[in-house]
Amino acid sequence: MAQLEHWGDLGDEIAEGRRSNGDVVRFDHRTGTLGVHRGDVIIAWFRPDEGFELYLREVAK
Amino acid sequence: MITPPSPFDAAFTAFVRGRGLWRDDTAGAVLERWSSFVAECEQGYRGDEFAYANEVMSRTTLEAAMREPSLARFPEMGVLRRRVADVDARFKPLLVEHAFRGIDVDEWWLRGIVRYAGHRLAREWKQSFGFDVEVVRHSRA
Repeated sequence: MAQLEHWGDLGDEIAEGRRSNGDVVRFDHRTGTLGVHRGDVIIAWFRPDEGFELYLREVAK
Repeated sequence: MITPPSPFDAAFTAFVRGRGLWRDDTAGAVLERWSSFVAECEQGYRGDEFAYANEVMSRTTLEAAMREPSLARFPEMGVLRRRVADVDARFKPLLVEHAFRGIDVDEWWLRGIVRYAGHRLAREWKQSFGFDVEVVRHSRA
């Protein structure tokens, strides 16, 4: 399973990690949405079907 | 007349919902999602990087269900396994293995990437990870 690095104090409701290319990935447990940030730009924002499972795979890439 | 779900369907849906799947949560629907995704990959996947990542996760859900002890007792699981294996056999030849080395080797459908794709996925994978993927400009037969 991917190692999750905690990048900021976002509380227990938002998980945050980083892909190998530096993209920051956040998963909001309250809404089930996943966001991917590249610098100041959000390159993806959607509600994945498998929710947190997808987040775990993205931060493992 | 609305037919209630079978005990297998009810158990399958309860299991995958517990994992976080929030729609298309029957065995048939998840299998169809996996099969349709592979069919699109055979032609050259036209979506973006994250649409691909979302759709390929259907195989992860199927794997979890196939490994779940509480579902093993249902005879429908044998049928599901065979159908998944049939789709897997079509997907594996499309892959370059071990592209995402941070993904567990047991999740080969996630660890590998398709050898060819539409221009959008090819461009995004190149930008994100440096992968060189053949761009499909015409539908393959």
